[in-house]
Amino acid sequence: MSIPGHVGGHWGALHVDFTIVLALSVLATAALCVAGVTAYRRRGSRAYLLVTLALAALATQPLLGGLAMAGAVSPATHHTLEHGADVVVVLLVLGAVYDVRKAAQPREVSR
Amino acid sequence: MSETRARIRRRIEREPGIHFRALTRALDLATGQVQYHLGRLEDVRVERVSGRTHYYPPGYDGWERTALALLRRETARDVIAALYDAEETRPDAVADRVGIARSTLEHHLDGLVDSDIVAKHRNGNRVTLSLVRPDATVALLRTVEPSLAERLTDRFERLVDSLLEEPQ
Repeated sequence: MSIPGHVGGHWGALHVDFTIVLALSVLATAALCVAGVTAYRRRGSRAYLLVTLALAALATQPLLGGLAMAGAVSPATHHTLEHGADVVVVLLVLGAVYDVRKAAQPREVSR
Repeated sequence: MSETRARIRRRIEREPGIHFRALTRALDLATGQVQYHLGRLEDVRVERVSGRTHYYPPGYDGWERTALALLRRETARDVIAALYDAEETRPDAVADRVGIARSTLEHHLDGLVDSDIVAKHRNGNRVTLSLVRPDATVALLRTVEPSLAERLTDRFERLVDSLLEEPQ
């Protein structure tokens, strides 16, 4: 079967290129998540919690990709879940940004 | 002394103030194994700083032990370097010079002021900062180096704080 625009090698049933991309993505998002959790434990603010949860939602994406590749999740479900995770990431970051103003208000009143 | 215990001992001597998890990771040992041997290394001193347990070889007093734990943080080191150069200066000037948000600076100052490394002087509304023991502090800076993971967390905090900072 020829797939238009498809690049990369195969090793048996395994997409080698896709596997490498997924593995890098898992490692990078996991490192960011660990930094987020450590920073949240130090700082304990709601903004840090929201940013860390956004990173956790980002980290689910390569995991979903892995599940889809292994055939545990259908391509259509994977597509929906992936965009669902995008929405969660964006909403959490928006929440963190919105929270800054709320956290700053008492200081402004006391000025 | 067993080989494992000697390895733990050497690691603590090389990295005074190393924390428990870093010790298990660096030596690739199980938590229980490290706990067991640490309990038997009688001259190794233990200090809890900001919720983490740090280990020290003998020869450091209480002030030095707390300082060594805090000086593992890259941003705290930058703040100390800025204060060493400027002697006595206002918090805004330190934050500008280091390139961090005021909230990042205040977070680090909490620990540094509590452990008598940095002094806050209040003169009416004006606050200035200075190092309590400048030369001793700078000497300790050379004893420890932050790990890659510690640097990553500190830079992540700097980024989030500066992104979420309210304009002054």
